[in-house]
Amino acid sequence: MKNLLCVTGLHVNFETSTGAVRANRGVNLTVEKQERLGVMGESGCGKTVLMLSLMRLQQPGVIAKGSIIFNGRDITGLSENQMRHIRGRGIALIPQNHSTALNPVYTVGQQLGETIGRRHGRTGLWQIIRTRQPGYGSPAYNEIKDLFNRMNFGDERFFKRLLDSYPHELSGGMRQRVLIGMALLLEPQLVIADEPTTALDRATRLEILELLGMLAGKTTLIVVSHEVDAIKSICNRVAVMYGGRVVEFGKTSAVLSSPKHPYTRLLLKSQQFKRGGSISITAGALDMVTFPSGCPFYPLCPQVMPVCSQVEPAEVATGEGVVACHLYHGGKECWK
Amino acid sequence: MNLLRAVKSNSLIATGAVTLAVLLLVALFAPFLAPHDPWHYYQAFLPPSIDHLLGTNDVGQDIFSELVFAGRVSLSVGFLAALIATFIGVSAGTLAGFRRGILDNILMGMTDVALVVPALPLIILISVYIGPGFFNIALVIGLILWPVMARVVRSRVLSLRESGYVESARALGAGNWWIMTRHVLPNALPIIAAKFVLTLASAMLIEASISFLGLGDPSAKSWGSMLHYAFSRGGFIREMWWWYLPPGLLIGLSIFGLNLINLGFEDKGDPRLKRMLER
Ligand SMILES: Nc1ncnc2c1ncn2[C@@H]1O[C@H](COP(=O)(O)OP(=O)(O)OP(=O)(O)O)[C@@H](O)[C@H]1O
Ligand code: SF4
Ligand SMILES: [Mg+2]
Repeated sequence: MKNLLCVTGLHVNFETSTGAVRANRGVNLTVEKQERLGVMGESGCGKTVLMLSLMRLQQPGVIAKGSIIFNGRDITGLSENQMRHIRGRGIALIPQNHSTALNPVYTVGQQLGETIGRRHGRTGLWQIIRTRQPGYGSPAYNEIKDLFNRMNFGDERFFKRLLDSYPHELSGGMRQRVLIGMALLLEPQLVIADEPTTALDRATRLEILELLGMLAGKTTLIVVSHEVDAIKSICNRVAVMYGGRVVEFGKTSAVLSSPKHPYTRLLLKSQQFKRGGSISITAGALDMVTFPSGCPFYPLCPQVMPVCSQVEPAEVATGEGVVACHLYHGGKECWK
Repeated sequence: MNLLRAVKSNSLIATGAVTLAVLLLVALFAPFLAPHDPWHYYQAFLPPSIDHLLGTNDVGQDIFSELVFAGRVSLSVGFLAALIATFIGVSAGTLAGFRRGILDNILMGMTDVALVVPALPLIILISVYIGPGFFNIALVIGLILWPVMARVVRSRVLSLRESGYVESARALGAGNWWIMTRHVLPNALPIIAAKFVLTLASAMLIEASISFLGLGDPSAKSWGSMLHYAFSRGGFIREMWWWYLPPGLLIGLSIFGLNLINLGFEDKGDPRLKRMLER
């Protein structure tokens, strides 16, 4: 089994008063062991919903159809209790918003210590009550220190001060590093970083990217990012999402240098002008409730054809990659 | 400006806390502070003098000593009742806010009912039915006061359960029980503390009312029961203000101190109240 993760035909809906928001509409994705997959796409295309669904944390969204095979097991049908064992140790998520992801009433040390405790299965009442600030020289302290050393942290004095700090006393970059460290302490098989560099200044962004790059080869990684640079430097494969679907999927070098899908081309071109931040080349033109029939991109596509507004394009294999567009009708259909 | 506000809210809390602490210490060290045995019979209806600072009552008990001892019952019934209300209210509110769904509907339905039933008549009814007594009264008051606590805690938990750190704890494999006790409750603690103080004030007021009506434990002296005897045994008619005024003042002082603490807490936490106070 080479694939660590295999998502097939995933549909995720949010019931709202104006109708079901179809955040994911048949997502197909595979992640091989030890690979680094990048996920790109404009704001609202369903990236975060997909990542949360991989951990079954997409509530109030509902997984309406499709399967998520993790380690050879379909996790869409697992109970909440079974999922708890997969979250953290199997799949760990580095959340999108670093400023609220740490609990304000505990020190960084207590929260990292809590994470180590969870890995050892120490989740009883006593552990909840006891605040676990790892003492100097304790096994937990040394473990955190080792990890943070590998993450290129400053000297020991700085490290000790970090453990004693409360989240609000830290800079954004530092909080992000603590969150990455927290996920790594659980030694997960798959690490998901949801836009790890948003809301950070440029220098810090590079440091965080370097940090994630270091994970390459040690663990499997999914990085959600708007930044082509980030994806280029870390990921070996990339998936481009539009309107709740993966519209192009392939080797990073191939997709970025010769994009096949018209949306990918537009996305890459817009990136040359606008670096970082969130991008929206379609300016919210897509209504996630009432999708047009046919290709969701046809109202904006520069290469639109008559068939595009009628039939939704299937995903076809083109060389090494996959693309969902009528321009490549000659390729053979995959995912069947 | 921030500093000023912090000093203001802190001085509110400090003033209230000192008031309450003095009352608690007096109650605690009552045997050492009271000049006489409050149950000993001296001459009845004596006016204030050096020997009997606030005179004696209808059966000749030293009123000042009574006052010192009565604080014990008033405060401890209040604390016990507030603890009961807080325990039930926090448990119910956390469960309702965290689990939502049908449990939430049932629990909040119960609080709705409990909130519209007039508290005092109900307490009078129940206390007549189960009979007076220290624990009975505390229990009844606690059972009447928990819904307010439950509602406050529920709404806080509802917002906390959507917070980023709860989501990230979940994403790292934490279970409901862990998240509730380790991440949600500690962040709800400030509002629980503020509400506890208010509950304590209500509990003491209700206890005083019950005792004033003569439905309290007849063998125990509380500020409310002192008022009851001053009223029913001629203290008011004889204009013996030194008999009926002090217990009333002490009840008022306790409530005042508790409200100061609560105001300080809310001033720290609630921006709306902050603005109101500034006006
Ligand atoms: N709780 C919810 N209720 C209703 N709709 C939701 C909910 N959460 C997400 N959605 C919808 O699902 C769609 C995808 O959202 P998602 O958060 O996955 O976007 P994203 O690709 O991560 O964007 P961003 O780059 O802004 O993070 C959006 O249209 C959003 O409005
Ligand atoms: S299917 Fe048609 S509209 Fe959609 S991207 Fe391809 S060419 Fe454009
Ligand atoms: Mg997102």
